Amino acid sequence: MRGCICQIVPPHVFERILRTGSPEAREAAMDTLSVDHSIRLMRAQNAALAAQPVRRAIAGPGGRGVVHRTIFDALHRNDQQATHVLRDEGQQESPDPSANQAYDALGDTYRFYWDVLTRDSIDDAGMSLLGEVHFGRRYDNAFWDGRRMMFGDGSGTMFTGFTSAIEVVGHELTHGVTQATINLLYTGQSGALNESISDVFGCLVKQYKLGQSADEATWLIGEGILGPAMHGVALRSMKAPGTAFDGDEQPATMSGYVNTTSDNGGVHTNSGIPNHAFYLAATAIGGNAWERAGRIWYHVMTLRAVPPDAQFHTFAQATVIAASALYGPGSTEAQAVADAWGQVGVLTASQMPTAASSGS
Amino acid sequence: MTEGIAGGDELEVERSGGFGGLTLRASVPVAALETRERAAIEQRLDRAPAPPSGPDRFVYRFRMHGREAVVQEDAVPVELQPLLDRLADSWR
Repeated sequence: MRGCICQIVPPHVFERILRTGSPEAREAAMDTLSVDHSIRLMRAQNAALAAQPVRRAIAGPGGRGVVHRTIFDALHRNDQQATHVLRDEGQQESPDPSANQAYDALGDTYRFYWDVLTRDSIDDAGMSLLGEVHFGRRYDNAFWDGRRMMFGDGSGTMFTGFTSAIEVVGHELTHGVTQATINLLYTGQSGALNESISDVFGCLVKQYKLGQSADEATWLIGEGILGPAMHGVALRSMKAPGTAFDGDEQPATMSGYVNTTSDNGGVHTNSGIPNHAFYLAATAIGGNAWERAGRIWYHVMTLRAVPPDAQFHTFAQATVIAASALYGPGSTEAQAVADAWGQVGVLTASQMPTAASSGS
Repeated sequence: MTEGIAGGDELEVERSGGFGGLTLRASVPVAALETRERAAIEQRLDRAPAPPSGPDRFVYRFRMHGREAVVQEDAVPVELQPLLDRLADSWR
């Protein structure tokens, strides 16, 4: 039923549906309005982009395109304001290998965002990248706290450290980019999207650095950081969710969606679904995943085309609209993105906004 | 979900979330808790869960006598930190 009120209904009918329709009709109308809103935003954004000079031209010392990193030593405490500097921007290598790994991986992540997406750091305004290593005691985790990235050394049994995998560092920095753009609520489906976006760009940072095409890449998250108690190759696989290690419960499609109250509603579990959609889109488009698939996802973020509580289908529709805006309605890219969300069971044929966006 | 062993005299602790998203569990006899640990948990039982601390933080769930408390990592009280340290090698 959703498809029939999706595209050609006049605004006053929408308003009536919103006031008096069944809950399902209201939800469908809201979806459509948000799609409409996205299209208007996209038109405005595209016009603004076309009018802008190429920003890379103004990169230089002290200007845009210049990374600034500081790596602190948390000294095995839960200290999110550590002050002991292990390595500052431009300094020689530290005797501490974790500090150098974090420094290098943050540099690679910055370089990816600047070279590929012309984004100048987390806030697109040159924000310093602050990382802490040796966070906590045998701490089996890494996280972004809103200002800094914290990296534990791992317990040695489950994890062996978090700075050695570039996609982990890219994942954490991307949480900052998400916070600065669409600020997805960290619970349920919007939380799983937040997680997925970090996995997507974490993977792309690695693929860009290694020069790997979508077909050549492993699409693994957390490669090489598993300790002896974990049996597997990584923590997550975007190519084949649920297969990265013994006990990996990520679904690849909506039929496996996990309802749970743990992990803020399974944000690291259900992220397998949008992760797999990205993988399917990127491999169907072919070539380097960061060039087109990555740009499409990023477009949704910089446009703020979805609300903070976006569910999977809202985000999915926004990516199809973004692909249509960037590459044309009916383009290979728009079709690949729509097909990918269809394959993971997020969008049905009637929910795909290709007809709506073809009018742009 | 794991049920209590032998009639609920165990405190069950679940740690979920984190970058790895692993849901791990450990348990300890309620009788083995320090008084202040037990008090800190009891104080939090059946409270509405707090909003998430932030991306990739751990979430703890304490279950005791059929009731539970959900505590976000950055809201773990100092009284409970030693308990979590004792459980560090018991997560499964």
